[in-house]
Amino acid sequence: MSPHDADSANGLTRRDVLRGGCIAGLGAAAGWLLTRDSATGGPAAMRAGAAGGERRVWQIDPSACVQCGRCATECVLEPSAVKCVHAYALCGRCDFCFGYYESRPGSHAGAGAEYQLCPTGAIERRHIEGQHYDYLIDEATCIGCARCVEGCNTFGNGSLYLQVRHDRCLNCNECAIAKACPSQAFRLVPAGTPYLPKGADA
Amino acid sequence: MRRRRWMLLVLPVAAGVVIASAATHLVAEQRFSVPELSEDYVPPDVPSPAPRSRTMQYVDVAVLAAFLVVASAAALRFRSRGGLVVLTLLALGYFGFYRRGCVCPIGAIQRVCPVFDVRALVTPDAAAAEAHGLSAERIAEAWRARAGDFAAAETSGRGRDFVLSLWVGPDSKRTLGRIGRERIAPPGDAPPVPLGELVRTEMRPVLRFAHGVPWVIVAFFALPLVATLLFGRTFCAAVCPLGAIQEAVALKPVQLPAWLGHGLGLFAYVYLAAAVLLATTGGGFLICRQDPFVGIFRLSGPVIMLLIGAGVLVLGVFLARPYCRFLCPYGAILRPLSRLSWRHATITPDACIRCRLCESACPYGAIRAPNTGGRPAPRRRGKLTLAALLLVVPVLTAAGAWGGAWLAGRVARMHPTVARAEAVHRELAAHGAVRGDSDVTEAFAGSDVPVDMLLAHGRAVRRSFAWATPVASGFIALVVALKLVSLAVRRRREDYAPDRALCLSCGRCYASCPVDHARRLERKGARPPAELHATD
Ligand code: SF4
Ligand code: SF4
Ligand code: SF4
Ligand code: SF4
Ligand code: SF4
Repeated sequence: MSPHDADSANGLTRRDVLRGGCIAGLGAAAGWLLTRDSATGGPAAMRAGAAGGERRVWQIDPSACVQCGRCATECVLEPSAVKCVHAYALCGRCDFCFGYYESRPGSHAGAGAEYQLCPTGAIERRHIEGQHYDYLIDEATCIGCARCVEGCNTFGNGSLYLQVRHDRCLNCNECAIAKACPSQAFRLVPAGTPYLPKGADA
Repeated sequence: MRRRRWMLLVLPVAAGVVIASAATHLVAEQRFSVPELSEDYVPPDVPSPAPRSRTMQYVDVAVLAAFLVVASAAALRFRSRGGLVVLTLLALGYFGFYRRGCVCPIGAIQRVCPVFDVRALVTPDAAAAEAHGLSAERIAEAWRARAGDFAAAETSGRGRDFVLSLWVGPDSKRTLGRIGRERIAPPGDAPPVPLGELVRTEMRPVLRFAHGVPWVIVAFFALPLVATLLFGRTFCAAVCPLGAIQEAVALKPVQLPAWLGHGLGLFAYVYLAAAVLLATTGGGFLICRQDPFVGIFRLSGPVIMLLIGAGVLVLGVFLARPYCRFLCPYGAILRPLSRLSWRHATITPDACIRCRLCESACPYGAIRAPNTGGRPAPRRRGKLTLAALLLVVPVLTAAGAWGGAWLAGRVARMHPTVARAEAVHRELAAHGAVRGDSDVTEAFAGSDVPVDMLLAHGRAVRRSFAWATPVASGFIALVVALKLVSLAVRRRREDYAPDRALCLSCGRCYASCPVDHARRLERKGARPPAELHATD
């Protein structure tokens, strides 16, 4: 005899009542959670632009990032889902790019590949015309270490910046980098506009 | 050419020094003008790949529901171990390798808990106001005017005298600092005063559901719970990818002594309490960070995680499903729910003949033997033990909570904000400035969050730990106490039957039962051997 059969002989058992209570409680809690979702968002910065209950994804606010390098090491993915992105609208197309070449005095002399800043050689320097070059990021090679971003922000136009790339990002429950980011540059943004581009208005 | 490069280097270095001494967050201005390029130049394309679509999320939930239905049917209705194995492998493929272990019900625990957020309350400082001859209204007005859009929704004041009341997030600490640095002129010809000196800023932890819980997360969290209330832990049998990968390697399982199984099983509650504590205080998602198998599902991850995952799997060859039995926090929730289940997997749906053949069939130690054979303990003594234990429950719980209160300060250091605030505070105390000696303080020095805002935030988070840690440790102690009580209560068991809390409905024991074997033969049309029918 299974316990169930024995129980059901005398009508509703304590177990039945408890189970009913659990299911009702679960339903109520789930319903309440869901209405909370549409009624309130997070802090104003998170809520901005997010319609009630809209799904949110992680993104880096480039104006807050201090290029600490944790984006390369803290992501649950290896290599990181954070990559360098280039805002071409801002780029000076410099001959000597501070995001491309190491800018220690004296090191620029040869301006060859060995003076590249990027540890993985993810930036391609392509001649446009005259003294002008485009710097293209190969996302498959970029590890999101922010060294080029630091160079470009410190000495150049700041057209290189980091973004969570959503074809790679798993949109973790909680972004591991966000927790480690010293400048709290990570935001939850609406999934419909998942990037915080630099110079979009330029 | 040479010369131009040299200038390009020196000028920006000089500019960089100037900029660095100003606020570093300033978006780098156009140091070099964007050149006019010929007409046919097209700037390279930067794609913006979209996140996983909404439709695919519906698919995930539908797949989960379908898996639960089929697994329950396979375990209870069709009693098919083979079917369960196939489902397990499919689940490993879909939720494990295709969805890369995310989102899963285990991690969803952390999304459905309430969160301590920190609210900053800015009030005019009466003493400072008087000293500068400014009215509280004037100060409030100046603050509100500068808070602008950012805090517009948050300045309610709720009928009290706050000039500003806002949730502390990344932006608000900066905003408060920025406004605090601005100055207003007091009456007369006194020098302007920074607004920050005219107010008191208090930060308070507030327990609330902060970030909204997407319905997909709610569904992933709740569906397996409902399935368990109905049919037992069929989610664990063949749907959970973490269970699946362990099930796949459990080849040479050994039996653990019951007391050891019960004891180790308590760690799951410790883990659950720790995970909820950290999630609630905003200290991070322990379950996701320490998930031993996601690295394997993603075929990438920190080396240490991959090694731990591999280690758990090797252990799992001999000790079946170690994560499920001794650690899984979701399993800890499923155990009591499964006790209440409406239907549950059985070793055989027919009467047990106590042949003992199934006794060692369960690799999870979930089969309980009948206990009616031995001499029953004297009733009176049993009652006394129970009464004593029931008394112990509140005492133990209180002791646990007290221990948590004592430990709260140390536990709080696991929170990144607290750790950051402490590092900055130490440096400040030792050198009178944040010099950036460690990488934490260096990064903080590079950001534009004011030191006092960070310290206030750290204190507020510590206060939330002072509340939450005793609750968590009290919960652990309560579970331990209840376990003692439940071990002392002797429930009469006539037959060999799975312990509903621990049985994962894996179906391994079905084949060991001769009655079940006979039933199968019968269903196939063959006559079962007569002596296998229950005789008593
Ligand atoms: S962790 Fe934060 S500060 Fe560091 S590189 Fe990433 S976004 Fe920038
Ligand atoms: S320097 Fe770092 S962030 Fe920049 S392209 Fe290279 S790997 Fe990516
Ligand atoms: S959400 Fe996860 S995958 Fe995406 S960037 Fe953060 S840690 Fe990496
Ligand atoms: S006990 Fe095992 S199978 Fe069940 S939810 Fe936890 S990891 Fe998954
Ligand atoms: S169905 Fe339950 S009792 Fe039977 S072997 Fe599996 S876990 Fe053990």
